[in-house]
Amino acid sequence: MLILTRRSGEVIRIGDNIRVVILQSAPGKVRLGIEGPIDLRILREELYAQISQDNQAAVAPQSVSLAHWISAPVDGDTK
Amino acid sequence: MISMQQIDSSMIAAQSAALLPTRFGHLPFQPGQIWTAATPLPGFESLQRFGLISLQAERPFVWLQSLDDVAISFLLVQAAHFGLRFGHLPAGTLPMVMVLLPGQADRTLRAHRQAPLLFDAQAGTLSQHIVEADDVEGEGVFAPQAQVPQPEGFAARILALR
Repeated sequence: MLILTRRSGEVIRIGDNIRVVILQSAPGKVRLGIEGPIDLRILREELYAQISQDNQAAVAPQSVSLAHWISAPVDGDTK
Repeated sequence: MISMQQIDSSMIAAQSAALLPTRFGHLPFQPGQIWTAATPLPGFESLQRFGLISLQAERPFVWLQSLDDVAISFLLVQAAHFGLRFGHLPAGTLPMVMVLLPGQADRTLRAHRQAPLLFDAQAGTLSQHIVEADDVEGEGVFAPQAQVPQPEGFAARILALR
């Protein structure tokens, strides 16, 4: 792991097109601004872990009956 | 298990179809019906190829079937059926959400609301668009819509079963 020391307002560059700006630092907390390509996925680590867990919870069981929801009324239908 | 009679006859004619295992048995996928993960799905980083399967009796739901691991499939529906909106999305992509099936005691259908799957029918790719909770609009209550527009070419990339 590369370890750098930076102050507020200073920047770290990653590759050609990613900039990490140190916006504010305080004891126990640092505020970052990140500039990069629009298709670059930038996430908090804990959000990635949560989505990973939610994805695994969404794996469908082998046997599923959808009858209850398929018969639900459709918005826009006239009775 | 799906019988061959339930597969749209147009699917069988082409010799380029690949017979691949799914939760419904082996099904013939045209090359254009195999979606590639543009970025790995969190929790399933090794899975690259997917198929979208639509059963007529289960619409508007569709199945996202891993073509790398037959045991992995997800129930999806267009985000609009849950009233969910995600701000700016790449042009031409269709947002769908994973459906979280309820347990026996609770019949509330929920969506994986912070991580819609974006399907790009032109590129044949899918990716999961992950957002913070504050960046999702809508209640997330399942309320099927009569019609939801689809991007051009999307329907042709779904394996439709009768």
